Order: sequence, then C-alpha cells, then structure tokens
Amino acid sequence: MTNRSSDVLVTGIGVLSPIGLSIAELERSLLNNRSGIGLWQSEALSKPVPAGQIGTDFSDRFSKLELPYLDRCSQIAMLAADQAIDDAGLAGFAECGQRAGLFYGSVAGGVKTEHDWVKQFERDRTRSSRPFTIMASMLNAAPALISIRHKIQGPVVTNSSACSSSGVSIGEGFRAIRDGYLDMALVGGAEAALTPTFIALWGGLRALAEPCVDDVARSCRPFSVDRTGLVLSEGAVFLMLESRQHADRRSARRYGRISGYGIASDALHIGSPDTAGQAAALRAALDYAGLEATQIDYYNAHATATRGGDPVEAAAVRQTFAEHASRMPVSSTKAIHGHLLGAASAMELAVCTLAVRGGFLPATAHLVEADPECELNHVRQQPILDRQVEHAMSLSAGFGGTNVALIVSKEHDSLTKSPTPVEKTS
Amino acid sequence: MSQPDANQIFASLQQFLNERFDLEPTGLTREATLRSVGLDSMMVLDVMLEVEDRLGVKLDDMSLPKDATLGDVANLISRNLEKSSAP
Repeated sequence: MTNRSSDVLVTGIGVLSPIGLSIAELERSLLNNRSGIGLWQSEALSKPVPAGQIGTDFSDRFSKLELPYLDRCSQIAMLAADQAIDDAGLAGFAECGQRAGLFYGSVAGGVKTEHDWVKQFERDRTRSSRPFTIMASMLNAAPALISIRHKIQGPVVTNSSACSSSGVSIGEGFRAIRDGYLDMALVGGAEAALTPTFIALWGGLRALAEPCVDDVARSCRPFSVDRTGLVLSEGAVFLMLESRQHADRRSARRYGRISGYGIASDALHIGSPDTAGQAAALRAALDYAGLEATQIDYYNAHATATRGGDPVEAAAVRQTFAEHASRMPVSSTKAIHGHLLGAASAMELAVCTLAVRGGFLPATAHLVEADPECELNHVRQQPILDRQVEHAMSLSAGFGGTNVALIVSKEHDSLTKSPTPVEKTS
Repeated sequence: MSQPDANQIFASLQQFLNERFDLEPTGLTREATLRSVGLDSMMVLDVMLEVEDRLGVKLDDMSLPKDATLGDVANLISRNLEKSSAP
C-alpha cells in the first residue's frame, strides 16, 4: 500500500491493566499467558467473584489538591494517558491549538465516588456532598482532567456505548485525523468499577463467571465448552494516534498503523447481540481499510465467555470471512485480562498492535475443548511465536447494540519501534 | 462557647489546609492568595463547609473579593461568627 500523509500511526501506548502496568509488561504477560484474574471479595456480597484486578492503590501518585477530583477511574486514566504521551515522545499539546484531541470511552466513570456518596446519603443521612463529588463522579471527569494536565485544546469527547465505548472513541479519533481535522488524538478508555454495587448489578444478569475451583485464574474461558460467564476487570489504556505527516516531521517512532474502522448497530435488542450487526461492523472496517478478508492475519475476539455471546460472534466471523474463517487465527485475550468494559476495545487494540509489531499470535488461555457452536481457528492455550502479522483486527460489541471493528497494520519503515525481546518464562 | 479570636481562626485555617490538602503552613500567610497556594473556589467552599461542621454554625455570607487571600477567608469566617453570635 502507498503511504499517505493522512495515514494514522500509533506512536505511543499507555496501559494500566491486571496483566501489566506498562506496554512492555502487557507484552510479557501475553507471551507468558499470565492471568490477572483473582478472587474479589466484599463483606457486602454473599460470595467472592473472580475479577481482573490491578491491585495497586495509586492515590499516592497525586497531591491532596488533586485527589478530591479523582475517582480511581480518573487516576488510572490519567496515569495511562501520561504513559502513552511519554511513550510517543511528546511533552504536551499546548502548541497544537485545536489540532490535538482526546477521545475517551467509559461505562461507569466515577462510579465508586457516586456509590460512596449514595451510601453517605442513605446510611449517614448526609444531605450535602463535598463540593468536588459531582465533578469526581462525572463520566467525562477523566478526559477533562487529562486535557487540563496536557493542554489538549481540540475536541475532548466522551463516548459511552457499553463494551464498545473505547472502540468508538478510537475509531472517531482515527477518523478525525484521517479526514484532516486533527494532527494528533489521544484515544482510549478506562474503567474502575469493582465495587459491590456494580458487581451485584451485573450479578442480576446471571452472566458473571463462577470462580474456577481448581485455579481462580482460569475462571474466564471464552469459546470453551465449559465457559460459565464473563469476568469483570479494571484498567485504563490509551493510544497516541498521529498523522503520518506529523509523525514523520518529528521522526516519531511508531508501533503500527490504524487502517480500518467499522461501526454498525444491531437495532434489534438492548441486551442481546446480533450476528448481522457484528458482521456489518467487520465488513465496514475491511472496506474502510481497503483490505480483503483473506488479508487479516489475526483476529482478537470480543468473546467475553458468556453462553449466548460467543456463538453469535463466531457466526459473525464465519459470515464475514467465509472460507478464510477456518484459517484465520482467532483468540480472546479476555481469558487472562478479563473484561475491561469501557477500556476493553483499547486494551484489545493494544494487544493487536503488539501482535503486529512483535510478530506473534496471542492465545485464548485455558481453551482445551472449544464449543462446537464457536468453531473457528482458535489459538489455544499458548501463544504462537514467530508469526508475521501484517493486519490484525479486533471487534467489540456493546450492550445497546453498538459494534465496532478496528484494524491495525504493520509499518515496515525504519522508524517502527523494535519489539521487546522475548522473555518467555514457561 | 467563647468566640475564637482572629489569630485562633487563622491558625485553625492553616492547620486545616495542611491536614486536608498537604499545604505547608509556612506558605500559608494572610497575604497569600488562594490561587497562589493552589486552592480553587470549590476547595474554598469545602473549607467553609468544614468550618460550619466544626464550629456548628451556618455561614450565611460566603462572598470573597476577587483573587482573595487567606486573610480574606479568615475575615469571612470571623464576620460570620460575629453575626451568628450577635443578639
């Protein structure tokens, strides 16, 4: 493909996740299949649940003047954004005016702050919150704070479309650069909703995984015949997107190129996914990228490990990729990082970017026997190394029916970032 | 309860700002502006609400001059306390 000045390159990635607190740690975890899923318990819940946990308290990374505005969601978002900007070799956007933007996705935003306040209101009869509480609990608190810290003066957009929230944000940021409206966009999402109320809210859906008796780290088993449901997780992931022209001008090193974005809605049911809508998003992304289905070398599935959801996606993949579906390597890395909700698409696009950059196929960990209804060419249990990945694709499907597909492609020039040396420990 | 004098009010304000926002007491002079020590309007409001809770009074007058100083905040508290204790 001919390079175009409006191509959109990934020049930085920031990650705070249950399987790594940096892009290098994330890559090591993928290569070693390290699960970040453990038991999460609360006195307020009747039983512990498996959850993808970061574990670290980041409060000490902020001053007491900053903390009143910072729900944990905003804390991890700000730290991941810092990483992405630093990784891209940038020092802020004050000089960019309206040519730099921020596109963010989250499902619950500052939900812990909000729930703590409700508890005070109901239990303690407190009738006036602290002045910051409303700001700290807003869905767009994190992007607002990031834009202030780094002087992002163009569009600062928050999208919430459930599990595809950050996917839409990445896609729209990508499109704004590709269409010439922006030179740079920080794109991604964050979620920190491991609170008893939020987990119980999900519990009502009967879609959460049971803890695996033998090893709780194996509780999320996408595509598996014995899968029991999804595992909620927390994390924040941002990618620094930049036009080729802008990146070349400053000789910025790059991971790869975002080449396709497709978005389509089911328009069918608020809680049940649909094959036609997902296939439409996949097709739209391929068309946008100008790629044939046969050119996709790796597909990172949305597959959350629910009984109903995984077969719908498998059918959408078979419908879109036809014969290539039996050859195209597919995995759902949620098996080790769980479902990051608003940050899920960003996390999984980061995974695809690493696969393209490093030449490996991440696995669906713990997948021994695939459900016949989920028949695909699964990368089972262990990642496959030394495999050229020219184009990788990721799908996210949210409650409400918004489906997003993204494609990341390999960059072959000398400015491409070198892969991390393989440190496979098992 | 006897009403605290101006010095006691300012000392309490310094102590509170140090506890809640980690601000160094040495920088918290009467002349220092709120902006210069890193306090925004919502943080000042938070301080006022805390004063209400601690002293068990309602601060009716929350008006501060533009670019207010810590001295202005202390004066505002004094003013309200005087009003609330007036017969």
